[in-house]
Amino acid sequence: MIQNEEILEVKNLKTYYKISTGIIKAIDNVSFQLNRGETLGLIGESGCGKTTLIKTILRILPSNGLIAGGIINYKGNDILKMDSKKINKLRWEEISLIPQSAMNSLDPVYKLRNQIVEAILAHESISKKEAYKRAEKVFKIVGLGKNRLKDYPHQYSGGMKQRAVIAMSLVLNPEIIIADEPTTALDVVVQAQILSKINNILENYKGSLIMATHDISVIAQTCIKIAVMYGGKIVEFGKAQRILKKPYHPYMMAMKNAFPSVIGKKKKLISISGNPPSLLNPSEGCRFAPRCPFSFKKCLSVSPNIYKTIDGYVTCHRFDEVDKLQYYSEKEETWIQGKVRI
Amino acid sequence: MFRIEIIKNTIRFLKQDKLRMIGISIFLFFLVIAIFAVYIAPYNPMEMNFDGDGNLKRLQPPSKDHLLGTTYMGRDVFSQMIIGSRIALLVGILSAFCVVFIGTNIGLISGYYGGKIDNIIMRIVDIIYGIPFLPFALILVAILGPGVKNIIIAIVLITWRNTARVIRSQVLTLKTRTFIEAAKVSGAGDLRIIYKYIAPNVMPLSIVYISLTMGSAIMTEVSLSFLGYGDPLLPSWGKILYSCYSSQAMFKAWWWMVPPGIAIILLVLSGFLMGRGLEEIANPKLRIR
Amino acid sequence: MNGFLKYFYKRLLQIILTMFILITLLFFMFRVVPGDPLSMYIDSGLDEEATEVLLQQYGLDKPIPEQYIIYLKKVLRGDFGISFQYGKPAINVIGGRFWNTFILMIASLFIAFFTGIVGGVFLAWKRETLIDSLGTTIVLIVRSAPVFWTGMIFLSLFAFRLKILPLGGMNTPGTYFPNQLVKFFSIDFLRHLILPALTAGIHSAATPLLVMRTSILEVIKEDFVELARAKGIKENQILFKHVMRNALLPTVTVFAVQAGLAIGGIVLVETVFRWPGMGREIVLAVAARDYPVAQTAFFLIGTMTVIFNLIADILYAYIDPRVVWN
Repeated sequence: MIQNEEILEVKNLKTYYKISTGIIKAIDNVSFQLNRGETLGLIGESGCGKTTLIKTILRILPSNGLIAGGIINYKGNDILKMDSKKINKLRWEEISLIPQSAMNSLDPVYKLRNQIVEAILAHESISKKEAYKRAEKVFKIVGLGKNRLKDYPHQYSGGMKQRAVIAMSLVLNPEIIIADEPTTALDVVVQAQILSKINNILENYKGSLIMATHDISVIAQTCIKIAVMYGGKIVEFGKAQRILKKPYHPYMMAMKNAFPSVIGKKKKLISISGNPPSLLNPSEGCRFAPRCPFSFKKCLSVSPNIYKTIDGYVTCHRFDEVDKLQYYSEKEETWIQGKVRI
Repeated sequence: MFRIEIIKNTIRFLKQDKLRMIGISIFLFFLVIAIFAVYIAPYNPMEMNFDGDGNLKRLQPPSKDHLLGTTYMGRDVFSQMIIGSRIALLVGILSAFCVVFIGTNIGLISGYYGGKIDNIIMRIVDIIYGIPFLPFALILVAILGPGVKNIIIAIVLITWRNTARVIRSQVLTLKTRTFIEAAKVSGAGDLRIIYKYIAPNVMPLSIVYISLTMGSAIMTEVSLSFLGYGDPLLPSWGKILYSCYSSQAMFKAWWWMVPPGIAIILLVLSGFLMGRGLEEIANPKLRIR
Repeated sequence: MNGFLKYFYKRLLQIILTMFILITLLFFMFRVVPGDPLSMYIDSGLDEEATEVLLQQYGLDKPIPEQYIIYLKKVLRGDFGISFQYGKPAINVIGGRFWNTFILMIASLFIAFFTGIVGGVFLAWKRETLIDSLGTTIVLIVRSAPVFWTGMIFLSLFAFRLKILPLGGMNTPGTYFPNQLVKFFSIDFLRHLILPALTAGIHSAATPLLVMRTSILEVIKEDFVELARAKGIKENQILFKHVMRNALLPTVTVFAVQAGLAIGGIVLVETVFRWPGMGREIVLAVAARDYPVAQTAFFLIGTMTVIFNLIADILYAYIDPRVVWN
């Protein structure tokens, strides 16, 4: 078991949604790799495609979603080509999910115990008693008492529901856990608790984690690698440490500016104007160009190339000037719309 | 100016929902017929018709002279249908407004004040739910005497329970909204808050229930008439079916039995569609309980 | 389970209160009669002496509050007066009819429940196809049609034209049964039961069917259904364990309301099919001005309504765990 063995490879993935007025290209040509034991963060605004990507991997898209192309290789097998028997086996056993809204992800008419045991018994033929014991074990890991197993979801608080859902994702010891905005719905204090719980689990757990969030601070605390998503594409991919200090893509530079740091010098928060692009009829060019202070004519019409970097890749026409861009990105005037372009 | 905007918005809003448009069209169709009934009906509905030789035109199938044929007593079915629309609409619309008016007010008061008042009112509603509607209406009308007025009274006495419950639910959700708190803080009195701020917000729901109640009121009137307790003087679709059934001619005279049923189906359906009944079913907020 | 029992007792208490109000309502209703209130209790055809005797027996010469107490006492003993038509105690007249109505109710509710759920699931499965539109239209039509008219149509079609089912009533005249149980399970009885039960059943099924259909379509989109899929659970199991169970919640609610209204419908259905039940009896009694029988019938029908409401509530509390805890 090599530590850096690649277990998940997503290549040129495209997922579209059919709506009454047309087709939304929710993710358009997305690629990344995940190695065993790695924690990968998917960062981006709402609507950038994080959740779609997650649902595509597990193939739980809604009825109007269609996977329009690409490959998802899990340990050599293409998930997109699996039949229902294989994919059901893969789900939860190999890849499990901590869903975005724990509030609504638990069936209100069943006790927690039944919902966890349901997951176990769908994959392993063990006795109910043994399954109950496993449920107790995972509850213990997340700090929930075993007597809570006999309760219904409405008897749990928000934070408890989140923990229950995390516990449930662990129960089959999956190779990959995908967490979709696990802390977004919680207040800061509970958020910190949950995050430390997650970190705790990660220390003991030998699998990989993919965490989707729009909150940089969360990623900073847990992830080794980052994929920055914007407008349905991954615009930058690489080591978290590097990206958070010296991002290569203007969008990531903007993100960095928008989050306060509790330590260090007091900096004024710089935000970017404009809105995320509509994915109904997206442009051929760089999706970030309309809001990018560094964009020029080519950016709006030509799709940027993918430049390989030491730890990943970035898609930006002006990557060769990255140092200059980084310098200016830290200045407030750069981001004010209408000013002279750099 | 304000009014024109509202009218324009309403028309646009109505056009969006095809089913609702169908409902409104059907309703307007019957409304027009009811208004001009006296001019449209070719014969007096109660008049017995004789042919050239002095024979009673009994149970005649549809013909040029009698579009929907004749009854056992030689009466023109078509005329009865036309005039009968008046009772249907009268009872339907009047009951609907009374029921929803009472139900909405009770719902507003119960929901807004909460506590003991709410408890008492809801207990009363629960008890009223235990009263079997049709048997109650039957006995009431039998005691007070058959007639449109008493039918409407019977309907109104019980049917408000539905509207009250639903409006109360709605008020409970609205009560927590900040604009209500703002009104309270600014010193507005209870009644003012209820009728100036909350009522306009539950109004759309009330209108839904006016349409739905119209349908059920018509159904009740028709049922009571079928049992023989309709208004003795005025013709109604239910009474047509009552005559049809009692004369034991229903198997042979399909022209006598079928049209009233179809008319009732259409009118009750229109009430359901206008009130966006399918929506009501879909929206969990609007469900009873 | 403790909370569950508490809920049950609370409802039971409410029922007793409702029954009490019903009885009181009956008492006052029969006193608002325009004209001679005595005609409610005493056959106006009797001579003066007999009338006097009955007046005293019923305490009708005493003040209202006293009359009320006497009335209550009698009701609690099952004494609703003597039938004007039959000369027997009203309770005996009605008693025989009770089970006939009860069985018809049960049969029609069973048909309604089954049709509503299966129909709702079917239309949800076929959503947005022609079958869905057609099916929904048919359901809407059945819902809007007077239940007695539907009965008349069925009679015309199946009994008169096709001659495969009887023209009404509960038994073929002349048939003899050793006891009630055999009677209720005989083919003859079932042949007579089908049309009225079907008529009442499909009428009651209409609204719950539409609710079931809509509920399923909503629940399928819920997050917990998505998570169940992510857990690798087979689609069938998801449908039955998660979707159906949750979709049933609002459906059962609506069904309960329908069941309460169905009792009224039974009156109409029994009349059209000449089914010898309490519904038909109340209509006949009111027409014959046999008020003791009418009162008794109303009381028993009211009791049945209340019991069915209770069953519906309990059923709902059983399937939705959130109810009891609130």
